[in-house]
Parts: sequence; C-alpha cells; structure tokens
Amino acid sequence: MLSENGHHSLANTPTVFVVDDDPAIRRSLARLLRSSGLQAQEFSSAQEFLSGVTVSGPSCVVLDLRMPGLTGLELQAEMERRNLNVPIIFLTGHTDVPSCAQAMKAGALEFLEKPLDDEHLLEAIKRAITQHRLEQARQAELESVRARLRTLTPREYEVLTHVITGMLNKQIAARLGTTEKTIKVHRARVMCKLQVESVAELVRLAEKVGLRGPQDGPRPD
Amino acid sequence: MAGNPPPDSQELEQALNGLKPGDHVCCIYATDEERRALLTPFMTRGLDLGEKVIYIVDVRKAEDVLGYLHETGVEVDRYLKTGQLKVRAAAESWGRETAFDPDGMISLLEQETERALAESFSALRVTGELTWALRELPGSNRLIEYEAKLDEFVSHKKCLSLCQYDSRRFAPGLLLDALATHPTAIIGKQLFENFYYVQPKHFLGPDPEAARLDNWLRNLEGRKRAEQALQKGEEQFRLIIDNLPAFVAQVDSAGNFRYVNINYEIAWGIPREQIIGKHVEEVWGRDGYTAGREHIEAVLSGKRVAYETVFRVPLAGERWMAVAYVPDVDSEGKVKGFFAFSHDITECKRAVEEVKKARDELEFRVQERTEELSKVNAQLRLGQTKYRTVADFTADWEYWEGPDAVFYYHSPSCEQISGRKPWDFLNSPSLLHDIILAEDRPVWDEHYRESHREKRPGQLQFRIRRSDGQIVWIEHLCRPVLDEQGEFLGIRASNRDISERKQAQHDLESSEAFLKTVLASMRDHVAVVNREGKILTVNEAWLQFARDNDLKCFDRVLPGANYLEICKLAADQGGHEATMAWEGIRAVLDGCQPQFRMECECSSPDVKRWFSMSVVPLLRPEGGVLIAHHDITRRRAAEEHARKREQSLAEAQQIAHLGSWQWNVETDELAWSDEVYRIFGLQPRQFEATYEAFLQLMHADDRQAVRQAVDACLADPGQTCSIEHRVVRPDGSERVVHERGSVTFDATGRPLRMIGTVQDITDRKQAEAESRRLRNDLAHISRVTTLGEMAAAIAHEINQPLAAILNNAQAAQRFLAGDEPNLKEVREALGDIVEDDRRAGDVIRRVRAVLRKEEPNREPLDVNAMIDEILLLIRSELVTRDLELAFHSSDNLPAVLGDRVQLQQVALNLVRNALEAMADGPRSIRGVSICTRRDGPNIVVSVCDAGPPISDEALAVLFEPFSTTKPDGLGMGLSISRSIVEAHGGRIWAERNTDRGLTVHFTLPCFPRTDTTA
Repeated sequence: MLSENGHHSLANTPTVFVVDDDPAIRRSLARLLRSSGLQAQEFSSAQEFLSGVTVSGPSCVVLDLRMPGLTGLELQAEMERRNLNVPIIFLTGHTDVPSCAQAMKAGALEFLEKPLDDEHLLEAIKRAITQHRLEQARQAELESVRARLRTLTPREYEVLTHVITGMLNKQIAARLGTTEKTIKVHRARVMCKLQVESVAELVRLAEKVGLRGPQDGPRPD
Repeated sequence: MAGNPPPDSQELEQALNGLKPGDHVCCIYATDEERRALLTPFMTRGLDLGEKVIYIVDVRKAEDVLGYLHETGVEVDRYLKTGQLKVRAAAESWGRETAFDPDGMISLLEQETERALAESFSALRVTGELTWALRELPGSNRLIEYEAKLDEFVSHKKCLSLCQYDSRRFAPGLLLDALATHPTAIIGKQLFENFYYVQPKHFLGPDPEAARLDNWLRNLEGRKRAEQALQKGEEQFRLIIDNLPAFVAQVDSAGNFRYVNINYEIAWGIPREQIIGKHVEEVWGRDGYTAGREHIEAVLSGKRVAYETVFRVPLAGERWMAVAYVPDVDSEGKVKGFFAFSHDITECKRAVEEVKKARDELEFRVQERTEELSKVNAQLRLGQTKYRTVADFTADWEYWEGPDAVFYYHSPSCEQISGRKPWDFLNSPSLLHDIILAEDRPVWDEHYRESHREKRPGQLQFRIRRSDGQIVWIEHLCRPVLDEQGEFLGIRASNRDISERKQAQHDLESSEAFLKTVLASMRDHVAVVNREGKILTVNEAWLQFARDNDLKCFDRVLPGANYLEICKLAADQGGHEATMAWEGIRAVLDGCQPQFRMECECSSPDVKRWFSMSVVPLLRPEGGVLIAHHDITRRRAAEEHARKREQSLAEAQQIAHLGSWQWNVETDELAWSDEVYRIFGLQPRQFEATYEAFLQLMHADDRQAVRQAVDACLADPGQTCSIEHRVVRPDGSERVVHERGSVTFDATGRPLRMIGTVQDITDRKQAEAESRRLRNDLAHISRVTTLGEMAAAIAHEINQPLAAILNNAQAAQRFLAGDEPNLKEVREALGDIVEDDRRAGDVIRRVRAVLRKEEPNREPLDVNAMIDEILLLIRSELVTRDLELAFHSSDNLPAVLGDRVQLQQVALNLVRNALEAMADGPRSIRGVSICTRRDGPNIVVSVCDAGPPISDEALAVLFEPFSTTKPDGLGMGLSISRSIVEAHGGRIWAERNTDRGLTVHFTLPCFPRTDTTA
C-alpha cells in the first residue's frame, strides 16, 4: 500500500486527476483517493482539465466517459493530440462495449463500471502510476541524451553519424574529404562530450534517439 | 505459432495477462503442448511489463525454453544481455551439496526480488519446474512446506510465481497438497480461483488438516449457497418474465416454441409444457400464423420486427397486440430463432376509441338538441303569427287573458270599440275594469271572479265609456282555454259592440216589421221559433247559409218546419250536440232557463265550421224563442292554434328534457310544465308545487346554493339565475339538472313572478365524467410508457448517487482503519452519503409520483419549480443525446391551479418531443429552449426546438390521436397533452419557427383568476 510509511512528501505523492461532471462522484472519488494516501485534483469538465492541468510527478487520470461538452473519449483523443501522456482510467455508469473497445484501443489503461470496487480502482491507479513513472524516467533519459547531443558541433555530429555505422576513421575521412587524424580528434571529442567509452555504447545511445546513420540527416535542433 | 490461436488459448492468454505481483499460481499440465501454451505468454508478458523474469529449469534444457520464446519473436538474446531474463537450474538455486531448505530458498528469492527492484525492474516474475522433488533428493519432502512459505512470501512482495506440475509424473496426493498452497490454479487451458486453497498461516499452523477440512466444508457450503442463489436468481427471472404484462416466447429457427411465459398458459388454457416443443402454427392457429408469417421470416433473417395486429386468443377472443420479434443470434452471428414479445394493447385502443366515441356522441346530442329546439321555435313563431293574423281581422274585440290576470292579446278592433289601443290594455291590466260604467261594475266583477274560479264559459252585457266619452254597449262572451290535460291557460273573450242593436231593439221593440229588418240586417243566422218549436221566420243570412251549403235538410229549416223536432230526430240518431241543443231550446221555451248557448261544429266535407248557437226567449205573451247561429269558426281556429302551440311546446320540452316553470312570488304558486314533473320523477298534479316543496325535492347538499341563487335573483332586477343542482327522485335515483330563471318586477321594484327552465343534464354529466376518467387512464398509460422509454436515463440518475455513496463509504472505512482515524474526513463522508442518498431518493420519488394513478388533484402550483423538477429527470438524457437545454423562466409568475403530475407530463412530453426532433440534426444546432412568461390572465409555457422542418399536413394533425412522425411512437402524447391542457382551462398550439424547427406553446390560467374581461 502506498500510504504504508505515511511519510511521503507532497511532491513525490502521485497525483490523480479526477474528471467528472457530477460533483458528488468527484468529491467521493477524491475522498477515496485521499483515504489511500493519494493526492487528488478535481476537474468538472474536459475543458477545465485541459486548461488547468499541470503534470509534474507521476500521475494518472480518472475520467468519466459521459460528460456534457467534450466526452471522455474526445478528451482522450485531445490528450493524445497534445502529447499529454498521462495514463487514463475510464469510469462509466453502465457497460458500453463499443466505447470500452474504442477507449482501450486508444490506449486507456482500464475501464471500470460504477459503482466502483475500491480495490479494483486503487489497483488500477497503482498500475497507471507505475506505468507513468517508467514513462517519465524513459523521457528523462532521452532528454539527457538529447542535451548531450546538443553540445556537439555540426561537424562532430556529422562524424558521429558515420562512426555509428561502423565505418573506420579512414573511410570517414575519405567520405568527408579530410584527414584520418582530424576524424580521430573529432571522434575523441564526441566520445568525451557524450560521456561514453566505447563505440558500442555510442551506438546504443544513438539508437535511443533514433539515429542510425548519415542518412538521418543533420541534427534536428 | 502459425495463424490465430484458437479461442480457448486466447482466453488463457488474457487470464495470464491479468496476473500481477502477489500472485502464486499452480499450473498442472498433462502435455508439453499445454505447458508451452501457458509458459510462453507468462514470460513474454513479464518482459513486456518491465519485470525481471527468472526461469528455473530442471528436466528441460534452458535452450528448449528459450527456443519457445525465440519462436514467438522474443528477442531472447537482448533480454539475456540486459539481465531482464535469466535461466537458472533448479539445483543451482539452492546448492547441489546441501539438502533442500525451504527457508534458504525463500531468502534467495527475497534477494533476487530486491535485486530486480534495484535494477529498476518493476517486479520479479519466477517460474519453475518442480520435477526435482521427485528425485528424492535430501529435503525434497519439504516441497509442500516450501510452497506454503512461497505463498506467504509472494503475497506481500513484488514477486509472482508460476509453479509447474506435470500431472503425468506427480502423484495425485502430492498434487492435492500442492493445490492447497496456491490461491490460483491453471488446469489444462483454464485458470481457476482455487476452491481448495488454504491460507499459509493455517497451512503452516499446528493443525493443517483441520484447517483444510474446515476450508472444504466452507467451500461446500459456499457452493451450495451459490447454487441456491443461482437457482433463486433464475426463479426470480422467470417470475419477472411470468409477471410481465406481455406474452414472452422463445422460438427456434424451425418455428417451434422453446419457451413461453405463464401468460400463454393463461390465455391458451394449455399447460406450457404442452406448448413448448409445438410449432407456432399449431398454437396460434392457421390464421394467426398466416398473419405473422412474413414477420417471422423477417426476424429469422436477422431483422428486428415490430407491428400491431389483431390476434385471436382462445380464452380472450380478439385482442389488439403490439408485437416485437428480436432475433436470437448465437456467438457466430447465426440466427438460432427469435424472442417474441407481445403485449395486449386492446384496452389502450379501446380507451382511445371510447374517448372519441364519447366526444362524438356528445357533439351529436348537442347538435340534435339544437336542431330540435330551433325547429320548435320556428313552429312556435309560425303558430303565434297565424293566431295573430286571424284574430287581428275580426271585427269583434277579442282578447286573451292569462291565468295570472295578465293580458296576452287584444285585437286591433278594440280601438274601434273602446277608443283605446291594444297596448293600452296590455300595459295596464286594470284598464278594462276602469272603463266599465260604475253601475255595471258589480255585475262585471262577479262575472269575472266566477269565470276565473269556475273556469266556465260566460256571457254578459255591460257598458263602457269610450275615450271620447260616448257610452258603448258591449256584449261579452268568454270561455276558458284549456290544454289537452285540462290545464287552465286563461280566458279567451270576445267583446262586441251592441250599442246599435240595443238602440234598435229599444226603438222597434214591438214592431214585427222592425224585427224582420233587424233580422235581415244581422250577419248571424237567426230564426224565430214559437212555443211549439215551429219556425216562424228566418233572416236572410239563415236562408243564404242553407242555400250555400245545399243542406239536405234545407226544407226542414225553412219557416213552417219544426226546429225542435229536427233536433229531436238528430238526437235520437245519437247526435250528442243535437241532444244538447234540443234540451237547451226546450228549457228556454219552458221558461226553466233564461237563455241557452252552445257551440257546435257544423262542418261540411270541404269546410270546417263552428257556430255558437244562442237561444233567448221572446218577451211577448205568445212566448217563443229567438235562435241565432253565430259563425265562430275563425275564433275556434285561433283557439286551436293556441292549443296546438301549447302542445308542441310541451313536446319540445319533452324532447329536450327541458321543462319550464313559473312561480308567482306573492302567492307562492308554482306552475310546472309536464316535463318538469317527468324530470323530478313525479306524477303531474299529484304534487302540490310550491317553492318550499321544490326545495325539498333536491339533494340536501344543493339546497343552500339554490336558495342563495334565487334570493340573489329576487333582490336584483339585472340578475338572471343559472345553477346546476341534483334532484332526488321518489325512487331514490339522482338526476342532475340545470336551472335558469329570471324575475319580473312591478313598477315599484317588487318581484312579481319568476319564470324559468329546467333541463335534465344527467346523461351529459355522466358522459363527461366517463370521458374524464378515460382521459385520466390514457394519460396514466402514456406516463408509464414514457418512463419505460426513459428507463436507462433514470437508472443512470440513480446509479450516480449510489456510486458516490459506495465511494464515500469505502473511503470512510479506510480513514477509520488507520492508527489515527481521520474523523473529520469520516464526518464529511457521512454527510455526503446522507446527501447522495437523498438525491437517489428524490429521483425514485419523482418516478413514483409519475407512475402513481390517482384522481387528478388540483392545487396551486409554481410553473417554474414544476419544470425544474422535470429537468432533473431529463438531465441524463441530454448528456446521452449530446444536446443542450436552456430554461428561460420569468420571475414572479403567479401560481396556476392544476394537477402537478398531469402538467409535468405535458411539459415532459413536449421537452422529450423536442429532444427527439433534434436527434439526427447537425451537431452545431443542438439547443432546446423552454420559456415561461405571463400573458394577461394566463401563463404561457413555450418549448422550442431546432429540429427538421415539419410539413403542413403534419402540423395540421399534430394534436390528433395516432399522428406521429416517430417510427416507434404511438402518437398519443400530444393528443393527451391537449386534453390535459384543455381540462385545465388552457390552450395548446404549435407554430413553425422562422428559421428552424417548431415551437409548442401552452397556456394555463393564473390562480387566483385575474380575469380582466369580467
């Protein structure tokens, strides 16, 4: 249980965004989440959520399927469009198989029917938050790689694109119309700036940002 | 694996995907195929989820297992390299040298789990072959202990384990023990919640066998209970189906009944076991089957069918049925048969028909009565005109005095005779008395009293003073006018100026020649008869009459003939009038009687004629009499007309159940027409009608109101009285009548008499009441139907607060479970639970109110609040239909008087119609608006939609029954709404909006009424 030690600082406490037009449902859900040591933030409509949400730590969205204005499914599509990658748990008043299928296809984590079993809901929320935490870690790592790549000069970057294809310094020099020695210096700087010690590591790092060779063009800034 | 996996392995995969840390699964397989089918997805899933996966091999080689994964496309090498996947030998995991130690093994797993988490994997996923335990290695007998400890371990760690048992190799006893230590088991290709599971604390406790037994017994009991619940559920389901007011059947594709509900049994009088298995045609009969056949074919081709039909049900006769067929489709989409739902709408149809009939009937009666009355009026006008025409042309001064001493008529000749115009006499009833010479008045007064009292014909001679002072001799003849039943209608009199005659008589009294001259000059036929009855002389008129009419007895009435003998002859032949004439003449001749007078009919085949015969003695020594025949045909005709007029009035009254009455306020004499007696259930003239007696006849509760209405009328000359009251007939039956009356006042403002009509409106009232009852029934049916259509939306309205209650309750439990319960949160949760419960209760109460079937109950209502309440019911539907609703309510509206449920029904109906009209519209136009406002003495409610345009034809019949544009609508909603609004004294109408859609308005009068027109 997340509240086991009871000493979570507020910043580390996962946040659950509750989006439901029915104030009674919203309040009661928030209370249930508080009772399990989670932090809840309430939104009365999809629009309010889109304009008011700030995602910092690990979080997930508990979303009512049926709402006036934007429906749950529409909000899901809008979040996708805005690259707002917070896992979604749908709530519905009655089993609606087509909507359920659509939601799951679009990547919803769970589809729960009201009235809710608290165990099921909390379990789903736990999974969603874990998933989001992993996703955020992945994003952070990616960002750090990108930051390091940004320290390279365009020439160094160009050399890098060739190195990762497994070309020898001599071949690269020929291709770029310079001397083997120059390439060697560039390669050493690249390794140093990117904080790697072997070509294998360099390849793995490049793969993480989808860089496979010179055919991928100059560095996207 | 090539192609899609078969459905059962898909199911297994789904079940495996649901496994999570904390799960401990026992998997018992019989073939390698089975083992592989569950192992591969188990491991793949773990890798996908970012868990660390460890496989503990024993019999198989690591390569085999990795091969499985490789074949399904898993990048085995990459995972091995990153360390996410690990394969270890069973023996290696606990050391070849030492004996197997469960605790050591558990601590090993603990380390592995911690390592996995430290390596930022989300959990540790372990699966292993336990075949090593069969090799009787040291400690391997502690396998089950190990499993129990493992179970305890995984239950609270980020670890899950799948333990593999080959059923071909492990002994059944061991497998049973193994099962008892796993909460979940996979047998073959299915995943089970393990019934035989025993919690580790019991299993590892002092008496595991007892715990096991206890567990089994509990399981048995639980199963029994589950079975019972299932059975009960099915019973309840059947009970519900049986209690549906509908025929429910399941029919297979061959057309044989598979299931029918109890209604079939009741309606067909055959036990349902005998219906089930039979073909539809055999049960419904050839005609029923032929009528339904095309629909059955349609439903068997997969379409839903709905229609209405007349159906012959053996025990109920012909019934109107609304039938719906729904195809029964199996999982592969093949039609296995269909479900048939039919419900009896005969009563509904009949009720609609009855209302229409009652309305038609009422209309027909009103029309019929109106026609009759206008016909009777026309006749009356005609009769009166005729009478006047005849009487206007007589030379005599004719008049007609009613029983109440009021003159109805004076002929114009009164002016010639008296010098005064007819209206002088009509306006002043005492004028006639006043102009009679004082000496003659006592005789007149006596005659007047006598003729009114005795109601007998009379004759008198007296003098009047003309307006120019001249004295005129009047011969006054009068007779009572009676109707068929002998009812006294007044006195009809004829005054003749006999001054000249008197003068001539005086002058030429003793002269025979003079007499002859007189006789000759008279228009009356006159004969002088001697004491023996022999005709001495006749005048010219007598002769002329005899000649004109070519009397057979012409010679017998000429001078010389014996008039008495002629009369005697006729009397002997049975002539009643002749007998009277003979006796009268005889009496005068003998001096027994001063004079004799009679009227007799003397008609020829062509002409109707009446004569008045007067016989007066001749005052001379030789005696004899003068016989004069005066032609009174015209007067008789006038009388006849008057009589007929009375008669047709009576007939008219009878036809219209309309009686008339006249009440003399001073004398308290109450005169009733025959129809009044009939209406009151009394025999004419067996009842002494007075005002008080009349009050006694009516229903005791109505007396006060009638008395007040009459008193108001008597007090105020401008007032007419119109009131409905009940009458209790002597046989105890009650009638409802409508009375209308007005009072005549004299010049001083004293009420003289009150005249009025009474109409029996019992039948009309009953028809109205019946029609009202049917309308209420229909309205109720319609409300129930509407709620049925809204069931899903209403269920959602109730489900929401229930969901909130559950959340709050569970939250409260959690808050209380901690060491320092958060009582503030718990208190707030309880407060919200109360509020949510109230909200659910409100919805239920509202639904119940709509379903209630009660007599409409009028109370002052706030229209805005009433509409707010409905919007709560409709809210969920708005969200589902993705529509918006705006309610523009005017402030400070006065109340209306009405039935809340019925008026809400109207509003609900209009709003739902508006929503439905917009169902398929473009998304940009999704608004319905409701608006309330004051308009003079009324409140107007308008519901406006932006639906598709409506045709002129549809608009014209919008409020007619059975007019609908909805495919599944009955078309009663607006028609019922109209009857409700009209019953509340309002109006309902629809008009096209200038841009899009339709607006329906209805009005309700404000309460208390603020009528400015009154």
